[in-house]
Amino acid sequence: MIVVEGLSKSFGSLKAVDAISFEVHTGETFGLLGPNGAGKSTAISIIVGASLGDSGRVLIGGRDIRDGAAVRRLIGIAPQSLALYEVLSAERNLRFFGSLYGLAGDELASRVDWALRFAQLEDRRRDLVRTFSGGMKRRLNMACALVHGPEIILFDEPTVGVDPQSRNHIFECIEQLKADGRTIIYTTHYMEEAQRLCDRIAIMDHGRLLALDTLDGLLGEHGGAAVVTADLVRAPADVSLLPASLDGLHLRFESRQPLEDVSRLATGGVAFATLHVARPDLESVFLSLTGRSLRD
Amino acid sequence: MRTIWLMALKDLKVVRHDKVGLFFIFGFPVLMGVLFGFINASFSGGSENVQLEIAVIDADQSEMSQRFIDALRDSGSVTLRPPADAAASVEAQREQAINDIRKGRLLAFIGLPAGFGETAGIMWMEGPAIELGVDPSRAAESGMLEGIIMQAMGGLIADRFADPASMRPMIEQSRREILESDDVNPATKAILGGFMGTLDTFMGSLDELNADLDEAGESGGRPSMQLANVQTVDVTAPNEPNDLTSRIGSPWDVSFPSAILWGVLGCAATFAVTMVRERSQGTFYRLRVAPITRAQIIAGKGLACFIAVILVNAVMVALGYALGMRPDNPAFLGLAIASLAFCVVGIMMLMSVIGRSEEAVSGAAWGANVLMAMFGGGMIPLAFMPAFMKTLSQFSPMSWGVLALEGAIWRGFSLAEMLLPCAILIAVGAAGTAAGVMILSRATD
Repeated sequence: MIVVEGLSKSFGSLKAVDAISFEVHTGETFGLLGPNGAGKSTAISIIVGASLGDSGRVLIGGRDIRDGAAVRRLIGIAPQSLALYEVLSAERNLRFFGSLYGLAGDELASRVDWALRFAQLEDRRRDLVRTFSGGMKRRLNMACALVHGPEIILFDEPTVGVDPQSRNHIFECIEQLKADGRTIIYTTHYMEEAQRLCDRIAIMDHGRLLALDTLDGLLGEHGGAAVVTADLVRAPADVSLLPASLDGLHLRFESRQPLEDVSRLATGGVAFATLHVARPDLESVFLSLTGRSLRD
Repeated sequence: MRTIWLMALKDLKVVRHDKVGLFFIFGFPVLMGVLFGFINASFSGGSENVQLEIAVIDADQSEMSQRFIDALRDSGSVTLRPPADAAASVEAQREQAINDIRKGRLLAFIGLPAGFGETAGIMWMEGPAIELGVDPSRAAESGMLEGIIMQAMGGLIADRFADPASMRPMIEQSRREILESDDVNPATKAILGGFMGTLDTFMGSLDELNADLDEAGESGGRPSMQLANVQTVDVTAPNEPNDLTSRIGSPWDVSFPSAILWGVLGCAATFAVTMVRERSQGTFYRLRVAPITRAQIIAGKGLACFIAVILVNAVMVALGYALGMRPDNPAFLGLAIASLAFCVVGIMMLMSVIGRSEEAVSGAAWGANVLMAMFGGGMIPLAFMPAFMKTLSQFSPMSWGVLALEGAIWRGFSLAEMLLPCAILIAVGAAGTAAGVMILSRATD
């Protein structure tokens, strides 16, 4: 559905996007994960045609993004910064953006109604956006991206500055879109969001694409071993069963198959008073790839 | 075109909620138009003349002093303020007047001394010493007031000649004083005595003529005296020398073009800010992602600004009509307004790219506006500018805008004469748009 080939963009001496390439398949939720300043938003800008790359190309459904209106109609974007007219009502914002995509008459009215329901703003439809809370604006920002029913949707850090309730609503909305078969590109610097929503995740830093795979693939390749810590009820008769030596009754060991190892110990008669398995996550993947934390 | 219209309509809706912007687009020019209209009226002596407020302290209380006061009042240029306490002494009234001038409540006072009526209006006798106290900060009005006093005194001379019966005893008294004087040499005494005799004979004849006319019941045909005969020549219609009717129907004809200038500059600044606001709040990004071209986005902005300028002009012209403005050529006025609107679109495009934030663009735009208005005739009418400002005003597109509007409203421009200012306005609009679009493209790619 989306093909990105050798995309680069520099601002003076700063290489914001450095020869990145990837493909996004139809119906897939594709995550771009990286810290602030990694180049995610710049990459998104070029992908949707808002700015020009220095080199490389972007194909949407086999056609270059610069080919014109037909390609752009396929795309909806919820930018990181709220892109709304604060002095217009929610409904007027949606009508305006819907109109730009060629919607009119009953079709426009019906899509606006849908978008307002989607954003849970039906009862505030005639209120000016400037009277909305941050979460409401964020939801409306998403609704404006969806009002024309695009096949491809790009969410650029959609949960920045959002309260937990609105964040959950946004997740539910994206999961609903995912279930509807939409193709989604989701940028975030929150690993939990990428883990929860994305089928495949690309990890970016300093404009470069460091890794791209499914969550399990990334964890397996770059996440390292899980850490198992346990307190035993009593020391086993055969200590050779244990993968590490005991510290009193406290056991700690690393494993790439932690559940299998714990199951084997239990079958061997090891009784656990407490058990904790710390699996690797995207944080450890990022740490492994860059030597620093995602939140740095 | 639908997309451009959608964009324009959205911008007009956005601006509708910008109360400060709306004030500068519609409220401010109305205020300026009305204010300048009153100022023009005061300069042109129109029916809504703003008069000089003065007090007259009359210590003479004679018929001639009353005639002098009436003449001041009839000049139409001064308002005589009655004394706060009519029963107060002359000295107290004088002190009060000086106090009021010092406090800025009064422009001036005129003091008529006792004995004023005895010699006022008699050319060969030493004139009465009239006191004139003027607010020193209003030197221009002081000169004007002296002129009005001289005019009123001239009226008294004419009055004396119109009443020969009252003049003849004075002539006789003067002749006797001359002959009895030890200070006048004999030769001069002979000349002046002869002159007084001739004058007495002339007055006697005049008296008889008036008596005959009174008997015949004729009111006209009497000899009268006029100090100067000034006729105003209409210079606004060089192609129609026979039409001496002034084309300036009201002071609003002159004030409204300048006021419109403020309105259109308000449009330029307001729409420039909406443009940079689109960029700063991210909606420009969303527009660029939408299936519309950059040209459509910019054209939509331009159309919204164009419509707003047309609306400002329509409101101002309608208001002008209501107040008495009558454009000389409505079709030319339409041409001038359209050209001005196009020019403003270009200025707006250029203003919108001179900063990256709303504050920067707003500040820079209003700074540029003040300069353009100052040299364009929005603060000081072009006619009152010093020479260097008039030269510089050629570089302000607004001066050409005012000229185009005035050409259609009261200057009586022909189509050929209208073309120069309109062409300059359109050229400025095109250049501004091209430069603005180029800079915007570089900034957003």
